[in-house]
Amino acid sequence: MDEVFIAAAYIAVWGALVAYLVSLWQRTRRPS
Amino acid sequence: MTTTTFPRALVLRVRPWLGIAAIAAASISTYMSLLWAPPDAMQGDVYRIMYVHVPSAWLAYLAFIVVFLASVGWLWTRQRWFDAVAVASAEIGVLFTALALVAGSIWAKPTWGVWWTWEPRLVTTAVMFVMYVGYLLLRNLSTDFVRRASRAAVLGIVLVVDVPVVHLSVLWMNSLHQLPTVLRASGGPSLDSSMLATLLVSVAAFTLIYAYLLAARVGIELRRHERIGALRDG
Repeated sequence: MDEVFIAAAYIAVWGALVAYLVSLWQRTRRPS
Repeated sequence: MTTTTFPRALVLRVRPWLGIAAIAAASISTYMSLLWAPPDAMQGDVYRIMYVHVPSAWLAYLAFIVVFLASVGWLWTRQRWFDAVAVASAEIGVLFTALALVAGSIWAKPTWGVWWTWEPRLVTTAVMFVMYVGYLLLRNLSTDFVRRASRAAVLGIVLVVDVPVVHLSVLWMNSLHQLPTVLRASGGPSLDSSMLATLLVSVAAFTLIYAYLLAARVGIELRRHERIGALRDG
């Protein structure tokens, strides 16, 4: 069961950081 | 009119190297966190969430201290790039605070039995999150650059008070959250050496990621300043 919580935390953190990075790239290419 | 040439040139030169270093450090830290570090004697493997939870919280502190310093820089010198650094760091700080709260909540469930509890560290962190979301919203209230930057700078200086409050809340009040294990007033870190090494590598990786994101976000903000200036001029 521990693995589920560990996976959830790591996916949440790294997923959010990558999503923010992608949003920055999009803002760089198409400034609002 | 103040210049933004110096920081932008520096940012563009440093950014690719920061990106490469951040990816390398993140890969090493993930390997150490999930495979190399030993399981905890009390918590087993679930404590490994610490390696993303603690760096997220520390980087939120760092980001808001940078907001404070950049706010002082703007009020002191009126150079526009200080305001760009302040807004960029505040945005990234809000992200890291949210990540600390989410990872902490996921860690709390198997260890405390609840996703959330109204205890000092959690409440002060949630307050910090809301205050800096408010800081970002305040920036949209005025279209006049100098007025907006000055109001935001005053708020950026005041809000940093919450950073030590969050960190020391576990010492000031009865708390379910564990006490500081590395940044302790008395004595050195109370962690096993391999766990401490893994935590420090994770903090280094998150710091590089923060630096890369900051460089990218500041670049976007400086371009926005130039575009608005060009539209105004004609």
